[in-house]
Amino acid sequence: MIDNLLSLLFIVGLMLVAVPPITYLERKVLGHMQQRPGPMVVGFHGILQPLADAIKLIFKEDIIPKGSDKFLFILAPSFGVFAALLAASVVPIGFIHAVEMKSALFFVMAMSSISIYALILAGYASNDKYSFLAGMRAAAQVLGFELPMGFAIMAVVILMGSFDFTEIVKWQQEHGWGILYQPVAFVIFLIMMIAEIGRPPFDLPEGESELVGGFHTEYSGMRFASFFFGEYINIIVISLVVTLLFFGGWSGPFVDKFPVLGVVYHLLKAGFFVFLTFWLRATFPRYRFDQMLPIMWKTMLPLAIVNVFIAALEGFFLS
Amino acid sequence: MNEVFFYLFAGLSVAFAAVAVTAKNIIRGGVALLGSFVALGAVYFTAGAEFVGIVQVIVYGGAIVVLYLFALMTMDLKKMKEDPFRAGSVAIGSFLSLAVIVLLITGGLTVGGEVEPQISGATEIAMPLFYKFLLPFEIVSVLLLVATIGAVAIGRRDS
Repeated sequence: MIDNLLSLLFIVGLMLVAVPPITYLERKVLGHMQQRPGPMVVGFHGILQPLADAIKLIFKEDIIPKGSDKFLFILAPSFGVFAALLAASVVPIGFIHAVEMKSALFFVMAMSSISIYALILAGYASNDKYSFLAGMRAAAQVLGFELPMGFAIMAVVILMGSFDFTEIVKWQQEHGWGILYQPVAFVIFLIMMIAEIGRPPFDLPEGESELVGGFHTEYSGMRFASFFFGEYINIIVISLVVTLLFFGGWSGPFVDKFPVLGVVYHLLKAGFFVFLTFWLRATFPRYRFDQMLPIMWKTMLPLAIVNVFIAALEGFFLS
Repeated sequence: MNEVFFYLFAGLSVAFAAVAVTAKNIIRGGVALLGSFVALGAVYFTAGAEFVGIVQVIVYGGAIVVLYLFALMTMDLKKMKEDPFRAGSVAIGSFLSLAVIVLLITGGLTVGGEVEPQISGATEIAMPLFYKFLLPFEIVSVLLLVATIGAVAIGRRDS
């Protein structure tokens, strides 16, 4: 009980503490990929930039636009943060398990589908055409990515026989990493997870070149910041999940003797996927809306369904 | 301890449902409906049916309410407000709700007694569904397919 409580504090603390450095790293990585230095002014190589941002956001005037739905306008940003933190609470990092749940993987899916309400409600409540369009896009996007993602996860679950992350990692310690058995599921999951966390090239609800700022056009100060807190926590959580499903989670050499190494391995593997989201952002232009929906419904979904049959065959021959 | 949470979330679910039907702003009603569904998912959790609780949140909270909100946001809500109630639809609605209430009360009376909550995952649901009740399950899936094709046929543009 005490162990679980400490683990919960550790995981929630880690999520909250990790967000400012990640925003800094993102801007630095993006900068160098685009052959510019990134933030340089505040502190050594701009290392205090997140702190400066936080001070700016806290002291910024909080504006609620006229004609907006005040209640929903205030409610919307909290959906993202709370759903992301709840999802984080069931994800084990190494030997640190906060909430042990038989269907933990499924719970993460549920929370990710709840977090999309932040975008939809913000879009509706802002009383702004651009935000409204962004909210509609978010709603269509969530319906698009959920099915292929669900089927990709289903292939993994059929193969490894559990929704429990501990069992999934145990299976991989015996048989080898999941990506060796399910490369197609990995590719589908990777693309859909980018759509789920709303990062480029699937950041259509934000779309600053078409929709000003998308769903957060009318937000300022800490309300604006809490959208991004939710988004970045989601990035960390989904990176941890993808390593658990396809890259053996905390498994690696010498983990049996030193369990702490498991935490290090897990965070390093997840760190690569956090980096990957920056990389994709720097590399790909945003998809158009009429390109994105066919990708999800016409390409990814049939592929994912066929892949479930392959997973069933694999499971049959392995057992 | 579980019982406290059971009654807490059950009460929340009913309260949210009441807000959902009485709210004047239909989008707020939709959000209340979301709250009701999520609270119901929590009720399943307190009864030990973890998997069903999560499915409740994903399917109803995640997909269906999103679909409702998507549809409602595209509609002309002002025009809908001015439309008067039709006696026929009110009658059908009240008849259906009465039937559901009667069924629920009789069901509650027949089950009764002490029910031991047990932690149950996907296996406990899948086994009866795909072995014992396979035929009803398949019939329901055909019914859903018919409904989907019907919806596509109605929504299709003539060209």
